[in-house]
Amino acid sequence: MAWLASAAVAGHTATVAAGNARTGVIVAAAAASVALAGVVLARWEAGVVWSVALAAAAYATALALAGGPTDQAAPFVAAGLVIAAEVGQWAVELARPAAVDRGIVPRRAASILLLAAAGAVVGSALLLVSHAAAGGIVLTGAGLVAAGAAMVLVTRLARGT
Amino acid sequence: MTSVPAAKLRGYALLLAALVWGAIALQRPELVALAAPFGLLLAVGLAATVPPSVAIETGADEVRAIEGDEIALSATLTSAAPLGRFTVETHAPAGLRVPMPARVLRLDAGEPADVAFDVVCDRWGGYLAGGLVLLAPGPLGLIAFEQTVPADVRVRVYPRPEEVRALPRPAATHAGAGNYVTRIRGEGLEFADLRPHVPGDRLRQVNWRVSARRNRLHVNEYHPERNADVVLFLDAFTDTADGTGGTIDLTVRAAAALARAYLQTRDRVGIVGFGGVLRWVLPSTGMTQTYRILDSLIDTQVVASYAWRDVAVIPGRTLPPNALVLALSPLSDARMRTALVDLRARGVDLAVIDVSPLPFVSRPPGDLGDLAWRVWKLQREQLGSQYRAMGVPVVEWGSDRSVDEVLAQIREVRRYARTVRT
Repeated sequence: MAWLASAAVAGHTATVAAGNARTGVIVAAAAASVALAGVVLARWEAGVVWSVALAAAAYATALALAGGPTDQAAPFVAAGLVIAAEVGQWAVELARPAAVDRGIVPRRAASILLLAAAGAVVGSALLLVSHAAAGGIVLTGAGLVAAGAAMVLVTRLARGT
Repeated sequence: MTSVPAAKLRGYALLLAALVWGAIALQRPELVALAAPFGLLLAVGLAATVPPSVAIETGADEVRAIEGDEIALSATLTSAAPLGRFTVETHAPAGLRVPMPARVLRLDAGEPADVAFDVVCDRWGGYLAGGLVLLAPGPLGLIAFEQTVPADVRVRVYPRPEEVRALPRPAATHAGAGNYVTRIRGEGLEFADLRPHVPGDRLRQVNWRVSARRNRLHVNEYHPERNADVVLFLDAFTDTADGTGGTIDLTVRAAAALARAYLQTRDRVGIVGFGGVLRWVLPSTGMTQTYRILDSLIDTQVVASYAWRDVAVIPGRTLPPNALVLALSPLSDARMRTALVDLRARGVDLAVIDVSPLPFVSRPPGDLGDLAWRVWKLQREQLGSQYRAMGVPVVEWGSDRSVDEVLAQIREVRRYARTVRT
């Protein structure tokens, strides 16, 4: 399922990609999909995030090269990436022999789907906001501050636990 | 509990940062949308993470089993707060095997959950098992909390009982009741002879049929059944082993089989572990002695020592007079070889089971290796001949034969050999 999600993201990246470097972007997206399958088979937990990052990078490059209007499917790409990352890590965990109690698998699957859906909703909301507001140096500065604040918040939370 | 950040925590944080900064740099809001679920995951996952508090109560303190048995090691877990998903892992020492070493379960607040792991006892020995590792990931698995419970269940795995049909009979018996029919006459079950009645004979001994025929009272005489002392003399100086087994392994298995069999015939059995560390169990009889001996056997191990040892260090009570001493040794160590010669010189009724190290050693390559191999084999044969010349039956035992076959050969040799008293 992780691979399917990754492949779907790669497929969408291929449709978005345009210009001279289109082939390179498609190859990178496909490589990310193959890498995800590889790291799951190799039971390399950290590699799952890196393969998802590669897929995200390929998508970002495709967007940058294509230019043009905002891709409205971006929230779904984000949901796909989250599903690929979470299910991929779950698959790596399953490689270790363990007896799993009844009820745990559906709950975890539901939480991943819920997370992906919530992420897509938040992403859509952010896209709407970006369309509503006009650009400018002030807004860019506010974005930079918000990004920095988000990173500080994440770091604080991580240290707190 | 110690907290361990999951591999994905750093990865997601870096991805989030890269996407946000990338969105600003490339002026593409889609990348913010791409970062949103990861940011949401990090925020919710980290904010909702609370260190769990799990109380663990392990089951039995001590478990006894026989090789090949499957035992269950259990623990009861109780958590103050509900835990949606956590993993309990156990690690078994070499010799024990856990087919399913991990279990993923959930805990409701205050409700105890029993976790049991099936453990297969592959090899005899004394083990400490039951150690647990609890891994409780936070709500979204960003931080894992780890709690370790040290192994504190003593598992004693006894060697698998081997069938022994007939045992070498000790040359001398003593006054205790046993299974050996002696040559002397007295109280017993085995008919020996008839003799005329003398005052003091009990009425129940009178053979009325013979008395009527001879017109004079005759009484029956019987051979009494006696028991004997048997001492198992184990060589713990060296162990020649490969992945499949070794001489100590065979020695312990054979000793366990012999001890069980002799104790079943009501003999008094003791053991002496002669090695870097001297261990002994005084001869005694009964079921308690069986377990005393088996407990001592499974603790048998080779302790390297270069100190010279001879039979003088062995306490006298461990080798009672007239005891049959059955030595189990690969005859590799000079101290053991000398001790056996000393025992024989003291007139001990001795038989040696030569636990052959040959099956556990690979033949060295080349002409020189071949020559060394043949010389070693010749030396071992010559050693056996020396013992036989002293009146000590020596039977070589490889892993291809059962203990019973070896004992049959010892019985055969002892049947035609007279015990030489010096």
